[in-house]
Amino acid sequence: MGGRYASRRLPQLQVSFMTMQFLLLLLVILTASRVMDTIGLLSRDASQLQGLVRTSLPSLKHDVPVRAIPFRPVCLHASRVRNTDCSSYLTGFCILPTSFPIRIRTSKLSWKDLSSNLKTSSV
Amino acid sequence: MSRNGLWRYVVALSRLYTTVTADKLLAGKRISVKDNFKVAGIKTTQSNRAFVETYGPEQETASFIERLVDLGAIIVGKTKTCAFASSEEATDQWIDFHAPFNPRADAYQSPSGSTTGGAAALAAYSWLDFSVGTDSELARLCCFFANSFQATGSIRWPAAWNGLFGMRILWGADTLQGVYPSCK
Repeated sequence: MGGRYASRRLPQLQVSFMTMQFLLLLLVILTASRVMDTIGLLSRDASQLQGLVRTSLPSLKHDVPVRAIPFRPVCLHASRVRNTDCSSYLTGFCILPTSFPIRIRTSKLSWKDLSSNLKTSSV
Repeated sequence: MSRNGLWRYVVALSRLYTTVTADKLLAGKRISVKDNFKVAGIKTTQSNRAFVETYGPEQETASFIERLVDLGAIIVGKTKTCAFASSEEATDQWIDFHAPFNPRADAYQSPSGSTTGGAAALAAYSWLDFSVGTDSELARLCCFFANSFQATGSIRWPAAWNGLFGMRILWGADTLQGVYPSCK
């Protein structure tokens, strides 16, 4: 029995060496990445943060609307939550100028909207 | 300041003696700086003891920090970071330095990182105005995956977890001279 199965030949993969090289190169290009650092600023108040950005980073375009990405409540580490109602946890926003080369489905908000959001959502 | 060049006390200067003018728009603003920015005369720890023992006080100040000081900001101190601004999780993965705690809610939540100290300090101390840190993003070289930009989120996650607003500027929009990179 075993000899009969062993005698069967698998279909040979007809891939040339050059094709393999091309596929490997394509895989490297698609998955290659690098970590890029940049400066970040933190504030308790969106309008204050806006002022700091305008003041300290004058080279940035400030007339563009901003994207706000509201983070989900911090319940990611549920095991660390002790007698805490996660719904009381609220969060900050990540504010990105819309000129960023990333595509995230977010609503466009003004700095004023962000400030009012902070007032209504902060713990 | 202690003998080894590290901060020993936090001094928050009174705002009574500062006046905002056209060229000093940040006069009196108290700012903390993440400990991967160079400040002349002070050791940078990057939250790693071996790094502290190996290198002496810095000879230069990061250009962004210099700009803030020129605008009148007061640097009250440097804040802890994950070692080498990595993505280690507080508190269990912090080895050389104790991790700050998240002052919100029951104070048992993770403060996230890597701008851990800056975010925790800002959430804890009302007298602190801003925290300066760094953010990182993992960018794929191929435009096919351009919408899958991932990031370590060194500003964004601490902002979210400590209830703050975070602003990460576009990579390359400003110089990082005087900042230890998390990756080269």
